[in-house]
Amino acid sequence: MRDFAALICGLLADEEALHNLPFDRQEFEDGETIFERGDPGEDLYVVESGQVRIFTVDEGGRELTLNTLGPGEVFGELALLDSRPRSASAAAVGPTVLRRIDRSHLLSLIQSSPELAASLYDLLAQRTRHMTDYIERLGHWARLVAEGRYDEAMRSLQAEGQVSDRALAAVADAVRTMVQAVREREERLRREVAQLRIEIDEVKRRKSVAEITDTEYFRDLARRARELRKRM
Amino acid sequence: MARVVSIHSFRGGTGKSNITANLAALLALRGERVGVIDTDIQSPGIHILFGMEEEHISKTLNDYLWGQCSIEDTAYDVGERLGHSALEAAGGAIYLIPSSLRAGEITRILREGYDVGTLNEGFRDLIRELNLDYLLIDTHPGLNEETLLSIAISDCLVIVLRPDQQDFQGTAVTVDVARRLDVPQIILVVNKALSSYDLDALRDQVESTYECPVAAVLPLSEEVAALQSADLAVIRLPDHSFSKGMEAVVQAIEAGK
Repeated sequence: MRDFAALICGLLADEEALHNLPFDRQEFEDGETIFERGDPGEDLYVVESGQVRIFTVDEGGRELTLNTLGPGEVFGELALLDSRPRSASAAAVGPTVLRRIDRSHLLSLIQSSPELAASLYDLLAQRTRHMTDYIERLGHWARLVAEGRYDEAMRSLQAEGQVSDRALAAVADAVRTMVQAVREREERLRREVAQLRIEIDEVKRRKSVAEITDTEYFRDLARRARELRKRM
Repeated sequence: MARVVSIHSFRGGTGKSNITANLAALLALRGERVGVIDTDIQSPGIHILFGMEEEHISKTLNDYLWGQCSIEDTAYDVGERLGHSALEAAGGAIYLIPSSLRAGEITRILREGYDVGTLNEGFRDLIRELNLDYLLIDTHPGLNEETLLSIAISDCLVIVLRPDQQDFQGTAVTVDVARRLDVPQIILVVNKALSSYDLDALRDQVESTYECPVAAVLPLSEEVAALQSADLAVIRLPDHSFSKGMEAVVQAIEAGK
C-alpha cells in the first residue's frame, strides 16, 4: 500500500486531477509562520520544496520543536478529521513552497478513493505510535532527571540526537538544554548550602569569651547587672 | 516600667542601625514612647534614617558625656518622619539621641574615653525625663566596656547577624557573654539572607546552634537597599517582607514583657 503522502503527491503530479482540485500553491520565506497553534484548522498541506518546522510555545515563550518536515511530506492532517484548532504551530525553514487543500475537498476525495482513505488511517496510526514513543522517551528522561542521573540522561539524549527520527532528535535537543539548566542550578544551590553550614570554633569561642569575662570590669558588671536593670 | 532594648552585632555592616530605626518606628506607631540612642560613637549614622540633617544637630551624646549639658538637651523629636498625625492618633512618640558627627569630637572621645557610669545615668535620666516606654540602644559593634554596659542593663538584647561564618562565630561569643550577664531576653535577627537560601532551614539551624529564638530572617533586598539607609522601610515599604519581618521582631520583643 502506498502511503498517504505519496498518494497526495501522486495527485499533485496528475495534471487532470490537479485541474479538478483546488490545490493552492503558497510560498513562504525563511521563518515565516504558516499557522499558529489555536488557529482554525481547515487545510492539509504538502511540502513541495523547502522545510517546515512544527513546534509548540510554552508560557515563557520558549519554543519546543516537535518535528521538521521535508519535500513530499504532509502535515495538518489532524484538522481534517475533527476541524478543531491547530494543536501546534508551523513555520518555514528556508524558502518553502507548500500545496494546500481544504477539508471539504479532501474529504470528498477520500470518500471516492478507498486507497486514499486506507492510507490516511495508516498515517494516523503511525502518528499515534510516534506520539506514544515520544511520550515514553520523555518519561524516561524525566525520570533520570528526577533521580539526579544527569550523566545517564545526557548520554541517552546524545544517542537520540544521532538517530534518524527528526522529531525525537529535536525534542532531545530541547531536553538536553533543560537538563543542563537544572544541573547548573542544583550545583549553584549546593555551593550556597555548603557556605551556610554553621561551624563554630569552640576553642576560639571560649577564649574570646574568657578575654571579656575574666576582667575586673566584667565581674563587677555581672554582679551589678540585675540591680542596674531594676533601677532603669 | 520602661524596657531597655539593645540592638547589637558582633561586626559592623549587619544593618543594625537600620533595624533599630525601623523597630523604633513600629513601636512608636503602636502608641509607645520610644527613645533611640546612638552609642555607636565611632561611626554614628542612625540620624540619617530619621531624615535629620547634620546642621540641625546641635547638642549630642558627646556633649552630655563631657558634662556640657543634660541628656534631655540631646534628645530630638523625630516623629515627623513617621507622620505626626499617625503618631498622634497612636499616642506614640519617638526621640533620637545622636552622637557627634564632627570628626574632631569623635577622635577626642575615642582618645580620652568617657565614664561608663555617666552613660548609665544618662540612660536612666532619659527614661524619666521623656517618660519613655522603650529605650532602644544602637550599640557599637564588638564588646567594649560601653557595649557591655548597654547589654547588662537591657531587658532584651536583639543580636543582628548575617548568614556568614564570621558573624556565626561572633554571635556565639555575644550570646555567651549576654547569658553571663543574665539578660532576661535574647532575640536573634538574621539579616541579608540571599533569596536563594532556604530561609526556614536557616532559621532552624541558627536557633538550634545558639538555643535562642530567631525572630526574623530578613532577605537581602534591593528595594530596601535603594532607600540607601535614608528612610524607613516600615513606612515606605510596609508590605515588603523586610517590614513584615520587623513586625515579627516587635512582637517577639513585646512577648518578653
